[in-house]
Amino acid sequence: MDQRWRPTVNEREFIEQALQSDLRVDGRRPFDFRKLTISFGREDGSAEVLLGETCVMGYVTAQLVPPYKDRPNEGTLAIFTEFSPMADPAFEPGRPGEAAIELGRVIDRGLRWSPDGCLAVVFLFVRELEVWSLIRIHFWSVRRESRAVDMESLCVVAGKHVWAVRVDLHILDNGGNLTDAANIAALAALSTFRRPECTVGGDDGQQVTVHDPEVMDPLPLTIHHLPIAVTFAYFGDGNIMVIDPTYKEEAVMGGRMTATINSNGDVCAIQKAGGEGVMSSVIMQCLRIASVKAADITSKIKTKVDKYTTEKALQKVKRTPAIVAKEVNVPDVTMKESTHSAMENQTSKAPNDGQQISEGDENHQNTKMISTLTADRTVKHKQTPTSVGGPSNWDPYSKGVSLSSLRISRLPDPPAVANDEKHEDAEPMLTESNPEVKSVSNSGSAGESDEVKESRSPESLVDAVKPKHKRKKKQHGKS
Amino acid sequence: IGTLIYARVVKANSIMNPELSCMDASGKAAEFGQLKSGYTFETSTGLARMLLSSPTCPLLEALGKKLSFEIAVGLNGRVWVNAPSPSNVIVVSSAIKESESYSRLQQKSMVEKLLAKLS
Repeated sequence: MDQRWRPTVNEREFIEQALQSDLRVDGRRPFDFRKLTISFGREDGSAEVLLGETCVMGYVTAQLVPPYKDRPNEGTLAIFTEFSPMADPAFEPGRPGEAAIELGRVIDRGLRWSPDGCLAVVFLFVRELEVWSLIRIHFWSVRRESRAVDMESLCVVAGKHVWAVRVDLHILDNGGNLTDAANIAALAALSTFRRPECTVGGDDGQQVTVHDPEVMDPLPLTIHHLPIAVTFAYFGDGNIMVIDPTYKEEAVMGGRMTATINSNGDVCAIQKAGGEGVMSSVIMQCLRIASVKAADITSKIKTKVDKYTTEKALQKVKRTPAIVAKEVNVPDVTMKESTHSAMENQTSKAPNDGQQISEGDENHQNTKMISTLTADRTVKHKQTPTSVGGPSNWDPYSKGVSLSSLRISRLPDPPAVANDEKHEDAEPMLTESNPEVKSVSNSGSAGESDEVKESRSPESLVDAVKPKHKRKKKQHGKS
Repeated sequence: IGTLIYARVVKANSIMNPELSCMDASGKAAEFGQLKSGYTFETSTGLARMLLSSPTCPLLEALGKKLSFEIAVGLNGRVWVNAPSPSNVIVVSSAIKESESYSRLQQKSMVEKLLAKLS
C-alpha cells in the first residue's frame, strides 16, 4: 500500500561515508545548489521551476472578494499545494482522511502566527503527510509575516472589495528539496503575475469595474522583497550539513532545517520540524551560508523575471503597430530604460478592437522568430511618430514577401494617404492572413503592410530605409 | 530490510511469488549473495544490458584501466558499485548514469574526458 521508496543499507552507509569527505553522490560540494531553471508559461503568473530533478509549477490567480472583517483594507494571499502522485509514489491522490484534523491544526497555527499588523486568516489546503503541511505553513507564513507582497495595495474599496491572490503550487516531480523549489516557483509566478486594472466609479463611488486586459494593461503586484528558502539537511550527529538535498539524501538524512532569507540579509523565517538536534552554533553558520545563497538565487530569479517581462512587453508593442504610431508622444526613450512604462503608455492609448487580438495572436508566433528584431522595431516605433506605420512595420528580414506578393492582387486601390484608411486596410488583411500565416514564420503583418506601403507610397519606403539604417546604427551604438 | 542481494531469478510468473536463488544453475555460489558496502543506483534496463554485454562495453573498460572498482549489474536496472574510495565510486556511478544515450565510441571519449578532468 505504501509505495514509498526505501533506501538500501548500502546507500545509507555510502552517502554518510562520502559526506565525511565532503563528497556528495551527484558530485556537488556540500553547499552547492543544483542547477536552477525557471521558465514561464504563456500567461502572466505561471512559472515552472526545475531545481535539478525537482519540478514545481506555480500559478497565480486573483479574484475580487469582500475582505475579512478585522482587516478591511488589506487583500489576502493564499497558497495551495497539490502533491500529485506523479511526483512521488508516496503521495496519494485525493484528500487523505486526516486532512481535516491537519487543516484545523494548521488554521489554528495560522491564527496564532500572524503577528500584529499583519494579515488575517489564510486558508491552507493540506493534502498530504504532516511533514509537508509543516513546510507549507512555514512557507505561507513567510510570505505573509515578512510582508513580501504588499497587501494594502490590493485593496480596491475598503471594506467591500479587495483582491484575493491565490498561488497554486503543483509538485510535478519530487527530486528532493520541494520547499526551496516551491518557494522559487511561487516567487517567480508572483513576480510575473499581472492583476487586472479596476476603477472605482458609479453613483456612490462603490461600483468597481474590472477592466479587460485588452483595454487597460494589468498591473503587477507590489513585491517588497523576495524571501528565498534555503534547506539544509543534517547527517551524522548533526555536524554534517548539506544544502539542497536530493531525493536519496532526504531519505537518509537525520533532520532538516529551512531558513528563509532575503537578499538584504533579513531572516524571514526558520523552520525546523523534528529530526536530529543541532547546536545553535551550527544554526548560525547555516544562516550565514543561507544569506549568501539567497542573494545568488535572488539575482537569478530577478534576471529571469526581467527577461520574461521585457519579452512580454515587446510582444505587446507589436500588437498595436500602425495605430499607436500616431498617438505616441514618447520622447527619446532608449530601449534599455523605461521600456516597460513606454509600452504601457502606448498600449493603454490604443483603441480596443477585436483586430488587435488577431494581431496579438499572430505576433505571439512571430515573436519567437523575430525576437532579435523586436529591439529594432520598438526603437523605430518611438522615433518615428510622424511616419505612419510604414517603417515600424517594415521588416527587412521578412521571409513572407512571397506570400504577401500574392496578396497584392487583393489589395484595394490606394486612395489618399490618410492614416485611418491605411490602418483599416492593413487590419482586414492581417485578420485574413491569420490562419494562413500560422504555418509561415516571419511573414504576416510585416510582409503585408510592407506591400501596402510599397504600393501606396514608395517615397515613404525610401525614406524609411535611411532612417532605419540610422536607427539600427544607433541601436548598435547604444547596446 | 534494506539489504542488497545479488540473486538469480529461478521462476517468476504472475500467479506466484517469484523465486530467487543465490546459486547459479550448477549449484555453485558464484558471486551471488549479499552485497556489502558500496553504492547502488537505478538505471534503465537497456543500459543494464549494455553494461552486461559480452565483449565488455568500452565504458567499463576505459574506467577499469584507470580506476579499480567492482560492479554488479542486475537486469532490472539496479547497479551496485564498490571501490576503495568514495570518490571513485561517485565517478563510476556518474559515468554510468551519463552514458545512457551514448554510443560505444562516444562512451569511450566521454570516459576519457572525465578521467582527464580528475587527474
